Amino acid sequence: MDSDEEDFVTYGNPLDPIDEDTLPSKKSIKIEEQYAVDEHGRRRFHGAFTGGFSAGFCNSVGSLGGWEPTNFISSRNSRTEIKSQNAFDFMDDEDRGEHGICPMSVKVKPEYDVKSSDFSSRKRIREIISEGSLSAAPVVQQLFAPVRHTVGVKLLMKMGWKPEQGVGPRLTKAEKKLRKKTQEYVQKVYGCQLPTNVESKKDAEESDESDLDINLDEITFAPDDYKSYVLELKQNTFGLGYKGMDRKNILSSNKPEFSKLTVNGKTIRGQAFGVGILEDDDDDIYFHDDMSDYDFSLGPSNKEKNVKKQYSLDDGCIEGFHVSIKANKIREKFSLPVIPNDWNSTKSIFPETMTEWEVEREKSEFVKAAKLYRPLSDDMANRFTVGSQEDVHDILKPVEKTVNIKDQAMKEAATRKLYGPLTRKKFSWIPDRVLCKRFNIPEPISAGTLQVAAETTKHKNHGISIFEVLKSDLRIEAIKKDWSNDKNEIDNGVQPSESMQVSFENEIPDMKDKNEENDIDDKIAGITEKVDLFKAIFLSSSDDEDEEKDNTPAEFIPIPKEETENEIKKKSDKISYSPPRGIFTNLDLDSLRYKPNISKNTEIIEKEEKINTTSDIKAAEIDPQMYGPQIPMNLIRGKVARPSHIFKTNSKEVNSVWVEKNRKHKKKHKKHKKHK
Amino acid sequence: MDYVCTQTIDCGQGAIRAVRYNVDGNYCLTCGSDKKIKLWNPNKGLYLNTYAGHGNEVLDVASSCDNSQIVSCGIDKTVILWDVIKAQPLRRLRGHAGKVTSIAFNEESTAVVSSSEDNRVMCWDIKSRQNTPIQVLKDANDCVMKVKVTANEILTGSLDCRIRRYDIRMGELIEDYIGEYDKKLCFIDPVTCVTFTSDEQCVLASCTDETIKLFDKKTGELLGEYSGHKTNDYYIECCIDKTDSFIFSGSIDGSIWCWDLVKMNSVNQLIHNKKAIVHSLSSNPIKKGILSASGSNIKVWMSSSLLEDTELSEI
Repeated sequence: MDSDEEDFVTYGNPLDPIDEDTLPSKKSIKIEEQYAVDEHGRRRFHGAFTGGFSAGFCNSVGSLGGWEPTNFISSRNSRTEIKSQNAFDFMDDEDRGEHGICPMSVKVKPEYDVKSSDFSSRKRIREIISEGSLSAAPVVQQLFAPVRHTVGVKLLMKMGWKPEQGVGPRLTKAEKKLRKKTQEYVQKVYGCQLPTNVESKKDAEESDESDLDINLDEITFAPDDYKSYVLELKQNTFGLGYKGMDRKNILSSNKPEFSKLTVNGKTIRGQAFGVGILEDDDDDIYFHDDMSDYDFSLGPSNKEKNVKKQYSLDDGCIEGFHVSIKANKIREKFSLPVIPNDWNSTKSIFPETMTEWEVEREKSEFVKAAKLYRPLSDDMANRFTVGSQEDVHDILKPVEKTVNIKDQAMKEAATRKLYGPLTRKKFSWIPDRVLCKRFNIPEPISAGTLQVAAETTKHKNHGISIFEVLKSDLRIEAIKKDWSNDKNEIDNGVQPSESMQVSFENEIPDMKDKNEENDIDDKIAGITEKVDLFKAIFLSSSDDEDEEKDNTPAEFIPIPKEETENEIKKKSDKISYSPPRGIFTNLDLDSLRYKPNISKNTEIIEKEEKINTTSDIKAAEIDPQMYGPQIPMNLIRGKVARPSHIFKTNSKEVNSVWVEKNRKHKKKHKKHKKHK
Repeated sequence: MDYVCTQTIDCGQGAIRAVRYNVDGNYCLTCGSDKKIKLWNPNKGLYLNTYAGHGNEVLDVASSCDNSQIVSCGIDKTVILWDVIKAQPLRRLRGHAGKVTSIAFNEESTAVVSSSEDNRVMCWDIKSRQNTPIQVLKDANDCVMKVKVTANEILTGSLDCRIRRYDIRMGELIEDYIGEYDKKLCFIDPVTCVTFTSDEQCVLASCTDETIKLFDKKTGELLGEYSGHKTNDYYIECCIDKTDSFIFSGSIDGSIWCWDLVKMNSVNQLIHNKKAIVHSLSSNPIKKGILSASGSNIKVWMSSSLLEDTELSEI
């Protein structure tokens, strides 16, 4: 045995010998006597289930000396400073510690923390093309743009690129169109959506316009820019290809794929057929209507066109293909431009910082732009004027002020203190009707009141009722004849407010009150007659007398577009060119128009942007657009205004839709939302 | 002419932006930079009520003819109509695009006219619940500093050097060019001058060229010019006393300058505060007296002759 012990080789330092007595015995301490303590040895008392914490100084006061007050600092001189307390004043180290209520520790910011899920790379996030996404995040991102261009952008710009352009060889308009078509084709065939330019719609519209004068092959454009496709990490748990709720499905009325049900060899197509509880289809069963599904006339439809089979199968090539018609274009090579010997670069309008090459490019672009130049439309042109002075090249030279001669005289008079006619200008000003009422002053009649101002009103429009259209005609005539006699107010007078719009109820009381003194009594009587007639027909008896603007006159009143009479007349000459929307999208209106067998009760449905077709169809004695019983001829020729005006849906003066007017009272409920 | 200071009230509102008498001269209102309006009894120096609700400093205030409502305006671009007793805002009229500099009731207190830094003057309807202005006057080319309303006119003074008088009865706008670009219009005060001829009316205009001009309303001619005070670039108000005998103006030297209207000479200088600017004045509509505001306190000045009378009557 000894020999075995001596053969052992020891390595390392031995541990200290254990003193058995000093070891704390584990089991002798009872559980009841074991207390939870924190790092300071203080007993943890509160929050036992969450790990426990002790409050204050052994659960009594804050420190050995009790609660320590904050040092007093005189605030006499700093009275106006806002004294406030915050929660941090009451927290101690434990609260600010790891398990406290407000842990304050040094952490890595989420954007730099690689491990957290919030980690967003410091690299610039490329724009995400999301399908059917309802989030506004891309919009918000677009709001913030960097101040300086990146290096890549700078390089591109030096090579002639401009922001919003694409990169690549310049294309003619035709080539561009072709590109777009290819994109659409790809989308159609492969079902995927290539990133498209937002302005593709605009271009589509522009292409419809005739560009007969311009030889488009000469003009090249930069290719459209496209947004690079960024592969998005899938961070969700629904299946591949799952598309969330798409607004389009709900808000638009796409033609649904009708479900079909086949029974005994016969099929029924339509909404809800084929979609029952036993079916798997999750077809949208909400009703989607489209006008193109309806017939507008009886008889065989002309819409069916058989697509001719242009190519036979046996063309000597694979099924589904045909021999190409167009020969492949051989790539053309262009030679360098020949510069004439005596060509010198002339003075130009370009800044000195631009290189010659850039100047050339700009020149060529201006030339192209000039070819495409179209003068500004009227509305825009009114806001601009030609400068009176020529452009000055020396930017440091001070520009002389343009001097108005009239104002000069005025200013001189003012300096010499000759105040009076030279410094005074008079304008006609039309005070508002309500303003005159509040000041208890009768409305002034001046030349200005006869103008039908085009400015927008501040009053709420309750819609022009038919009455005003009729009345105003007669009224204006009456006033024009007699206004020189009348210094006082004319009771039916055109309001001196800035537009012709007044709701009907405000008119009637005026008329009734001030009937007596004027020369145009007869005409007024005539007007009142007609008005009474309309009133009797249309007004409900209760809605008469109030002067309040919130009153609604009748149950059914045609609510045309809110426009002055002038504008109505202007518009009757114009035809709407905006494309039909909604259920009218697929409707082919042209084919419907010139049909000779329009019955009297044709429903040419009126919507706001619909094209008025009446002007095309000649109005005979009997207007084919009129429906309802025919009015006897003696009434039409009489002095009474034609009630037929009312029934004409396509009248030239009023473009209106019969709509039930909501009581304004309902709107009052909405008030109590905001207090502050 | 002897005006004595009968009361000095420290309003405790930060800086007073404007002080105004009410319609009968028994109460006055102070607009403070602390966004509040305070109602006082100036004769007794008593504080009565506070109206808080503006989002920023209050610049002008007017009281209604029946003392039941107050309308105020401020830098927060709003006009607020208050109930005097409840101290609650009744209406908030939003429409201006810039700070609202001045406000006035019409005679019957059924409409309110406000002028603003956005070059607009807006007329509001108090009677109805309309929250949009009845009419917007857009003729000014620069900030409209002051608006005053009489029985049938609206008078506005703008920094584009023009006084505009909107005559509602005649349906006219009369624009008076006052001075060159550097002589901007500061403050105006319509005045009924009985001393000239009956029914003749004058307009008092305080200009930044440190003069106060008196114009004939009908012809636009200059009737008088008063100077001596210092305004620099500040908005210093002027007023005329009830009897149309004296013209008062604030000044940056801390005193109120008084001139005899007819003689155009400087009669007196009432010292309000030697260290601060006196910028706001209000003339008592009933008695001969004025209010002046400087810094954070206001002073009530009364004609000494009046005081003797009141003392006698009290005894």
